[in-house]
Amino acid sequence: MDWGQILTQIFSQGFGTQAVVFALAGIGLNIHFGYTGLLNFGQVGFMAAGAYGVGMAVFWLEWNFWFGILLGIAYCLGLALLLGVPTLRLRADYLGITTIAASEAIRLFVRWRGNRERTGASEGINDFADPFYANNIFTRPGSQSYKFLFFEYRADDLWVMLIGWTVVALCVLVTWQLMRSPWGRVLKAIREDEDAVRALGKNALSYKLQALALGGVIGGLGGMLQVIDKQSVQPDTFNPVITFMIWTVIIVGGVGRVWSPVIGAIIFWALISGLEVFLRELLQTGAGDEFEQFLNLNVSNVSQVKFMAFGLGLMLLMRFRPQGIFGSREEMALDDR
Amino acid sequence: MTGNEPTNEIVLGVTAGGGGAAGAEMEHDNPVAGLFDDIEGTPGVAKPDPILVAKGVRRSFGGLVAVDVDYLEVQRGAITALIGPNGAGKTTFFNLLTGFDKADTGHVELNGDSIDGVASYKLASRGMVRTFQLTKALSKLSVLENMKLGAKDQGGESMAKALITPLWRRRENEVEEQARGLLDRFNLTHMSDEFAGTLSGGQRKLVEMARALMTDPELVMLDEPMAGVNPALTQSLLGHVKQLRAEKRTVIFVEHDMDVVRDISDWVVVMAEGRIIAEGTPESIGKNQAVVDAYLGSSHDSALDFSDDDTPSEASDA
Repeated sequence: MDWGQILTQIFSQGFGTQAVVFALAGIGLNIHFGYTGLLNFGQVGFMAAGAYGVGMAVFWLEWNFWFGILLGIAYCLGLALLLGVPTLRLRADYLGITTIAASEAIRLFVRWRGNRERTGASEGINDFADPFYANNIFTRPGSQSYKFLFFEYRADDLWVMLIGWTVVALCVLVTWQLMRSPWGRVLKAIREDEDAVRALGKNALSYKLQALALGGVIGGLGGMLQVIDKQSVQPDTFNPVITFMIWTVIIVGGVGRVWSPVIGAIIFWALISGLEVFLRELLQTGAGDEFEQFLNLNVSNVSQVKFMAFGLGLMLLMRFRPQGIFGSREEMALDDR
Repeated sequence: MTGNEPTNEIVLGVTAGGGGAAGAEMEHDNPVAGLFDDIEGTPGVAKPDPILVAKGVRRSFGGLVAVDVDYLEVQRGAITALIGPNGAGKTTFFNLLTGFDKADTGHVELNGDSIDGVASYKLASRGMVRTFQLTKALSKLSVLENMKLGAKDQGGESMAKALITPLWRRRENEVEEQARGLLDRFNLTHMSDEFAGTLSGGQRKLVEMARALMTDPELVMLDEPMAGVNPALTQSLLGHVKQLRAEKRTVIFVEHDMDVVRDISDWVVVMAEGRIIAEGTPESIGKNQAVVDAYLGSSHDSALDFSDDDTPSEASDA
């Protein structure tokens, strides 16, 4: 068993680009659900909106890449209005139903053949982010990679991670500041009881729209970072499973806490990738033959088994620490009253 | 929520006793005392200075006409009770007046201005605030945060300004001072930092009323403020309602407990089957045959029990 290899994987993935993407999407979802009580089951739709904003700006409109980021943000705002205006007047469940459907509709629409010239349809959009990498401060002649202890990073990855974690830090800061302000107080009050908020003279619908838009844009930034990292926008990377992984991230961290999506995302990716390497090592060394037989573990089902194991962990968490890592049990108990 | 029946008798005892430190503390001036003496108690009667006027307000759910109010004026500065058997349409009428429901037809005027179709959240800035039959304490906010939410003109409630603390810090401090003052008045200071969800039912009623006062309203609409509250706290709540009148605010409240109604209201409006069937002073209303019929003739609602010696009525003789 090569523990060094496992640890390397845990650290590099736990702080890698995927963790950044999930942290951003989680910060957005946490604003929706954790603070405002909006049931958004289509966060991946906002990620796709952001990603396709950048991609389409370069590919279809032939804009400058950096303006593409603005287009991505505009797409997210548009999506928030589109989803929010008709559904936010209704009960919370309607938003949930609409968002999950909308996120699938977006995926199917962008991969539709008729959109080939705009979205690249099922081939997607590739190599659109060169200007992003042109500014890479880690680029140096000769070597393309950096070694820290036993981690090795490509210069491009380091650049994405630097920008990514900086954006995460900014979003955490903004969330923290907003949630301690009177604005955040109104959101939390809406989560508890919307009618009471309206009776006290606040336009609850407007606040819910603002929260949906803000969380959507932050989720969109996550989507942008994901496609910039891959230099490729692919419709099928934005499938509904991603939304539920992001829910997992904020539940692990504890809903309604500023840091929870960040720590949740790190733990999620560290565990998922650590588990994968661990199971592969197990297969190679034959150290756990009985265990392998019990799970019928083989090379082709390792990635399924790792999610099974993660699911089991999640169930145990719900049983023994339902408030997540940062949540407060005292606060959670108030739900039962 | 606990039932009201055992509560009533105890309240009666306290009221009849008339003494005690709590009772003495609760004496408040009545700025509208005597105002209603010359007003005839007929449905739709005009008042000297109405703050709220409802004309032809009608709301039906399918075939059921829940509210059908021809005309009602509510006197400024007085405590008006809205009573009626279960299902009389009191809460629906409340919802129509406060913009939480939309009337099929009719007009409502607040301070002479029409508020037809005005969104519920805009009414707070026009001086009208309401509470709810099922208390809406915001469980996961502290009591102090609950209070601060009520304050008007908070710049920090705009997203852009919220980002920069100095833009809202000063107002926030003012709001906090106002909130602490009200918490003190409602004897809730010791609970300021607790989650509102940890309060008892009665304390929640107090928080909801105090929070409503943060908007500095002219007209306070209380939907069953005493429901499920223990006798001692009922006395305290009654005192607070009288205090509102002493501060020249108008109060409309829905109530089932006739002892409460007689104790604090200046004027009583009786609804049954969606209509206003009677209006009058609390003394006169118990003698009104239409009221007696509405209560005892249809639902035998136990809440309207006139066996009290102070106000003998046909009901007790029957």
